[in-house]
Amino acid sequence: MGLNVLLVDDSGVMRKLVSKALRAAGLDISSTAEAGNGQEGLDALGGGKFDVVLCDWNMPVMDGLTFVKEARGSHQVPIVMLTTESGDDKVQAALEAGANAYITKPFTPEKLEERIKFVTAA
Amino acid sequence: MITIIKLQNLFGDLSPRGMDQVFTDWEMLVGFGAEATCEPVVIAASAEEINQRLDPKHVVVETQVEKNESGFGHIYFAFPNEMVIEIIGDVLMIPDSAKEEKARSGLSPNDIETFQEMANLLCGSWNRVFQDLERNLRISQSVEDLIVSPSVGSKSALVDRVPDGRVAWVDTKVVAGDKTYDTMIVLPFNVALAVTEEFYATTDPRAARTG
Repeated sequence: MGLNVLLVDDSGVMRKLVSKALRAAGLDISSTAEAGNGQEGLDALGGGKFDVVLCDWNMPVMDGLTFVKEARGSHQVPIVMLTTESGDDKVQAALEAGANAYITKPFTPEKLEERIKFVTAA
Repeated sequence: MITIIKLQNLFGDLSPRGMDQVFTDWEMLVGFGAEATCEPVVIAASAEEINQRLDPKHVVVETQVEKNESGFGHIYFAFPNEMVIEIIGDVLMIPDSAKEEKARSGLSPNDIETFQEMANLLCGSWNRVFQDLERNLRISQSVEDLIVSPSVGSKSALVDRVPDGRVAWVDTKVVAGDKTYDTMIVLPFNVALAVTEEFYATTDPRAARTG
C-alpha cells in the first residue's frame, strides 16, 4: 500500500519539485495532494486521510509552524517540515510544536526518502 | 594590502566551492547539472565596468549577507537569460520548442517567479557551504531580502542593482552539457571586505580551502 502525501507549500514550483523528488526517491506513493498554505493544509487534513505531510514554514494566510500547532489538536499524521529556515531555534520550535522531522532546502531525494521512511515507520 | 590578498584568496577558494554546491543541488532536485569555473576576483572602480564583461541579457539574484541574522550588505549573482530558460525548462519539464519560444519572447513574470525558487535554493546551497566551513555567515533566503530582477532591454540588471562605488566580482564560466554560460558573482567592495574579515576572524585562512 503506497503513501498518501500532503504537500503544504505556497510555491507551486516547489510543490512540483518536491513531487519530482518523491518520485526520484523511489518511494511508493499512492497519491499526492497539495495545499497552498497552512489553512488549506488543515482543510485538506480534515477531508482526507494522509500518511505524511510535508510542510513549508513561510507561507501566507497561515505559516507552517501555526499549521503544525493547529494540526496537532486533532491529527496524529506525521509532519515533516521542509523549509529554508535552518536555525536551531526554528528546528526546535517546529519539533516542540509537534513536527516529526525537519529537512532544510535544498534537499536531496535520498534525504526525503530517509526522513519519510523514518516518520512513517514510527 | 594584506586584506586584499586575503580577499583574493577567499573568493578564489569560496566561489568555486559555493557554485559547485549550487549545481550539485540543482542537479539533484531539477536535473540541471553543470560545472563552474571561477576566475580570480576582480576589483573595479564601479559596477559600470560590468557592462564591458557581461551580456546585459541576464537575470540577477540579489540577497543580504548576514552575520548573527543581521544583514550587512548585499551579494549579487547574474545568470544569462539562456541559462535561466534552460533551468526553468528543467523545472517545468517543458520541451525544447517551448524553451526556444521563451528565448524569442523573453522571460515572463511567471518565469522570474519560477527562477525565484531556484534562487532560494541557491542561497541554501551557499549557506550549506558556510555551515560546513563553520562560519557565522549566511545569505538570506527570506522573501523580504531575496530579489530576482531581469534585465530590461539592453540595460544590465546587475549594473542597475549594484550600488555605486567599488565592486568585487568573480567571473564564472558554467558548462552545462554542450552549452557554456558566462555568469558573475558581485559584491560591493566594502561588503566583500567585511565578508573576508569575518571569514578570517576566527581561523587560519587556509581552512577555507577545499579539502
